[in-house]
Parts: sequence; structure tokens; C-alpha cells
Amino acid sequence: MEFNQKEPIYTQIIADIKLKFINGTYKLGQEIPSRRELAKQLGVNPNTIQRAYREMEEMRLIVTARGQGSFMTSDVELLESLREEALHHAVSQSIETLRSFGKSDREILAAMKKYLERGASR
Amino acid sequence: MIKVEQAAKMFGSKIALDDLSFSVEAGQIVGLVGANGAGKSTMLKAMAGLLHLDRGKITIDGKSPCRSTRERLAFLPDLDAWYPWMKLSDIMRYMQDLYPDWDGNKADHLLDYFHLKRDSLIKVASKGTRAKIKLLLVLSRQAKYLLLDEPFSGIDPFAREQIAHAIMEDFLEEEQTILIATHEVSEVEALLDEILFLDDGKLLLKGNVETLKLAESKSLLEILKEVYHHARL
Repeated sequence: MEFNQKEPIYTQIIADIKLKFINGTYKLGQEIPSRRELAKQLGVNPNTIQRAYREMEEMRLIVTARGQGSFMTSDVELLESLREEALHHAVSQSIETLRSFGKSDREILAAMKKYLERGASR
Repeated sequence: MIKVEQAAKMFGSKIALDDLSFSVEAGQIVGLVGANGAGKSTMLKAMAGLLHLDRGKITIDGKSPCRSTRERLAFLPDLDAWYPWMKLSDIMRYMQDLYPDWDGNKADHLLDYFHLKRDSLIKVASKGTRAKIKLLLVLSRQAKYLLLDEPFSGIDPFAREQIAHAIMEDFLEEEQTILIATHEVSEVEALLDEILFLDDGKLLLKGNVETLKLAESKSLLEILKEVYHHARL
């Protein structure tokens, strides 16, 4: 994993684990790497990893059982709402970017359709 | 805990440390960051008991730097400090005789990890190899405090990653307190809990790296640049 310079590392780790959960790399209830493993693997201060895990526990994204490691939540509704949120975020971001270019909604829709069709025929 | 209170040091008319006060909590990795001549090496040497302050006080777990604190503290100097005829095995034997906390198994592990050879002659070793040797000598001791002066200077990114990895692995095992002096903040950022930013012997900034970045929404380098320009106004 490559980190960008601007954001704190712990928020980037949370975003990465969220993404892996949303796209199915990590399944509901699956065990994720321990803090130690991740610190070693990423070469990141273990207290920074701890901060990411603590925050994910507070969000109920992960559950840590004492002495048994950390697991993704088994809450289906939480997964669905995360997917929803991620989709909304990505769509609104691209549409707002296109609007800032001065494109009308009709033009944006046409451009998106064209892109999708080209993707389908590929 | 390392506590520095109003530390001051002059070299001739040059101020190296200008009334510096801070403390380093146990079990943290702290970056001592600043340009060349900011006072980083002077600070580390004073902590290691290798030079005396003009004024002020340093304590390590409540004691001033002396023989007994030296035993719990491992120092990696910026400059090479060995005889030209020495082989790595000579230095390792020397360290073993000098420090009761020398851990032969760890030294063997690091030799292996860094692909170093016992009979290699230090004088002709490359910069990257010398950096690895110096780190091996420090990490092979079970010291509670590690003071590393520019452990990444002049080495390639590959060796850099190996060295960072070795430091992290050791920290996970022993939870020492580690101070890393560097002028290249991006090289150590991911390893740090805290940063101490020095300029002209003064402390310009101290804080938790992740908290600073979260509060400012900027890279650490940008934050340091701002603090630096503000101080120069």
C-alpha cells in the first residue's frame, strides 16, 4: 500500500480496509491482519495502526475479541449502507467535477452513457 | 523518559542548542527533524553523555547521562567511529565485550537479514552497507533507548526500506524508546509517533504526527515549512 503525504496514515488505512470490505476482498466476519502484522508489513508505527483499529471499532466496522484478533463486522446492513455511501460519494464527486467544467446535466448524462457503451463493446 | 530542561550549548560563537526543553515519553518513536546545523546531533550526543551542556539539564529515567545511563542507551553516530583495519567481526566482538546487553542471536539474525558478511572490511564497504552495519551494532543490544543519528543518510531506497523494516521489527519486539535525527522528514514519517522540529538550536514544533496532519489537512513537510517561515518573520 502506498500512502499519500497529505492525509494522516491512519485515515488512509481505514479507507483501504473499508474499500476491501465494500468490494468483497474482506467478507462479512472475516479475520483481518493483526495490528502487529500490519505494522510490520506496511512499515508503519504500531501506535498509528492501533489508532486506525480503535476508530474502526468505534464505527463498528471491525470487532476485536480479546486475544483472538480482529474481524470485519457481520452486520449486513452496515455493509449495505457503506456500499450505498461509497457509491453516492463517487457519483456526486464525478458529477460535480463535470458541472465545474460548465457541462449541463444532459451533456453529463450523454457523456456517461457513451463511456459505458464503449466499455460494454470492448 | 528522557527529559531535557533548558539545554544550552555553544561551539565558539555558534549557538548549537538554545534553551531547549522537551521530554520524550517511554515507548515512543520520535523524529528529531531539522536542517543541517539545527542542533540535532549535538542534542543526541548530549543525551548519550558524549558532550557536556553549557547550561541546562538532561535526565534519562531521572538520571543524568553517565556510565549507568550509557548502559541502557544505544547510540548510532552520524560519522563512522572505527579503525580502518577492522572487520565487521572485530567490531562485533568489541561491542560484545563492552556491553553486557549484547544479544548474539539478534546480531546473527540481522547479519542474515541484511546479507552482511562477518569478514567484510569496513573501510571498503559501500555507504549502504556501512549504514546497515551501524544499525546492526545498535539493534543487537537490548537497550531501552536507541538514539539514531541520520540512519538513512546517503543510501538507496531499497536499503532504506530494509533499515526501516528492521527498526520497526525491533520496536515491535522490545518497545524501546527510539529517537531518530534526520533532515529528511519523509524518510521517517511513517515510523514516528512524535516529531520535534529544530531550527538554529530552538524547538519550533512538537506534536503527534498524525494529529498534526489531521488538524492541518496538509503534509508534514508543508506544516514544517509554514512553522519555519513563521519563525523567520
